Amino acid sequence: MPSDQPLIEARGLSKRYRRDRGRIIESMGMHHLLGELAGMPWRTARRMLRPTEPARSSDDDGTFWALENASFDLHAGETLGVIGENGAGKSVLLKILARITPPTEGTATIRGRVGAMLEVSAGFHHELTGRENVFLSGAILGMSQREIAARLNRIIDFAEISDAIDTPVKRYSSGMTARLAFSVAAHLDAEIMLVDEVLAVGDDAFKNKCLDAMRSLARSGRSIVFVSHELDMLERLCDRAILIDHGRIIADGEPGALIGLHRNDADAADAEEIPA
Amino acid sequence: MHSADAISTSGAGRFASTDPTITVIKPITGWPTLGLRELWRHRELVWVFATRDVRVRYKQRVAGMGWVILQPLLTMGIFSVLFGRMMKVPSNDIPYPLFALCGLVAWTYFVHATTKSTIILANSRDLLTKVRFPRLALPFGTLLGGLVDFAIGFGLLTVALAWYGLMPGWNLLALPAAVGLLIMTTVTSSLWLSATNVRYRDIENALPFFTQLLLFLSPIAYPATMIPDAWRWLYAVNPMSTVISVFRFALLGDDAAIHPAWFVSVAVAIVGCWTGILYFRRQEDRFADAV
Repeated sequence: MPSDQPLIEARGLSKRYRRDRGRIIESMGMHHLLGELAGMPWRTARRMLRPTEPARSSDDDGTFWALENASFDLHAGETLGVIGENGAGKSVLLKILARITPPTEGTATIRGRVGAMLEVSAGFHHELTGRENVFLSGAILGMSQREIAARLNRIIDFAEISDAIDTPVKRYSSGMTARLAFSVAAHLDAEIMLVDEVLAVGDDAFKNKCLDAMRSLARSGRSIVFVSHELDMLERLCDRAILIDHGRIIADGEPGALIGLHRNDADAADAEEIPA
Repeated sequence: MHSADAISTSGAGRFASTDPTITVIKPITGWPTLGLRELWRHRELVWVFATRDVRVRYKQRVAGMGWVILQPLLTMGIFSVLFGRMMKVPSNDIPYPLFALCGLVAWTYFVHATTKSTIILANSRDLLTKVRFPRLALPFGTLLGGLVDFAIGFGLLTVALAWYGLMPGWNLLALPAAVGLLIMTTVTSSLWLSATNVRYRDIENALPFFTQLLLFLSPIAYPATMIPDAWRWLYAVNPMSTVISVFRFALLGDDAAIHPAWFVSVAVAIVGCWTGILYFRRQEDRFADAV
């Protein structure tokens, strides 16, 4: 086991979107769709003719870099917080690492299984019972049915939902759904956990419980990349942080210091502009 | 708090022995692989999606199975009266209701599965933008789930065969070929349409019109033998035309429609499946940004 090698090695990860529709520039038009199977030679030729380094500040062609040249390492057992304004590029970074969307440029080497908790209730179906949803959601997140069955009791206990487990999820409160969804995702067997704002649900007691759970995950050797607007929580959980601003990583270091930096930036921005 | 312990799924020691899988994330280049091995690894997920569809369908509908039987039965009734009785459409010496039902059961699977899988990606926005899993599992799950309705329709057909006292002979051996060709045709339409519908929602609006056209271009209400021989080759470009004729051959012993043009359908289905998977895989990296 090459324990000295980082679990995540991100090198120059960049993602370009189109400003108008929020779609990536490689998106295809209808002409492209029809020529999709026949158009290979043309595309290859165009790629060869294209300048090797695309223009960076590209306001002119209606595109922007949601993430630009992001490089960092994540080692085993590290808990990395990602700080930044809305739209700074935090979620894009997580989506690239979770292989939901490909980068426009750059690479990332991932050593180990990735468990992504970007929106834990995404796989839920409201007509099905809690129990059925545990199996459904677990399967979508990458667990085998046998693994889920083995963990079912722990998942239900952790969610504190045993009374309602055979009730359709449409009768659940949003807090109950969120607890069950989080509980399923938290029982993923992955070396690397990508966590995006999922703790922003539920009451304070459950939040603390989740936080404890994440800490215990970190203690058991997992690495966590954690995105949250709740900076206090981020500071309590993470031992390292990166600060993203307009798609670029502008600082990498101790969470407390970065949060201070980020708050100063935000205050300065608020003083200049009308707050959103 | 007890919760901290409750969450640990395995001891830290387990990771030391697990061979870490290395994944390299990079921009899209060139053409993808078929990805069937990844899909096979996630076959449980295909199954889970299929059972989700079936469960939800039967939970929401009071009539449940009744509706699945009623639909082809009603259509058969109308076809029998209009085409069989009034217009005297030939059915190659087979009782017309049986003749029509046989075509309808296969056709119903094709249309329902295609319609459902066409919208499945566009309707799974949360999943596509928030979770990583083999995207092919969604349409394939829908196709698999649809087989439940197909099986029920098939049961209905068996009852109808018994009612008319017809026993299929050795030509029943052709049934797997008929089912195989039906599934391949449905895979073709489902993959092409679902991947395209992520970006161009017009597809799902236009689909009912095109399935209706295809209904007339398939030998459901009439036998394929009514098509002039010279046109059979063109007619067979629609693989459903052959699927239905092969079904009738397998179950009803109707061998009048056998024609070398059937190979055109088989070729279309094979090429369609293969390019459909490639096209889908080519598109799937963009689903999260396009949906």
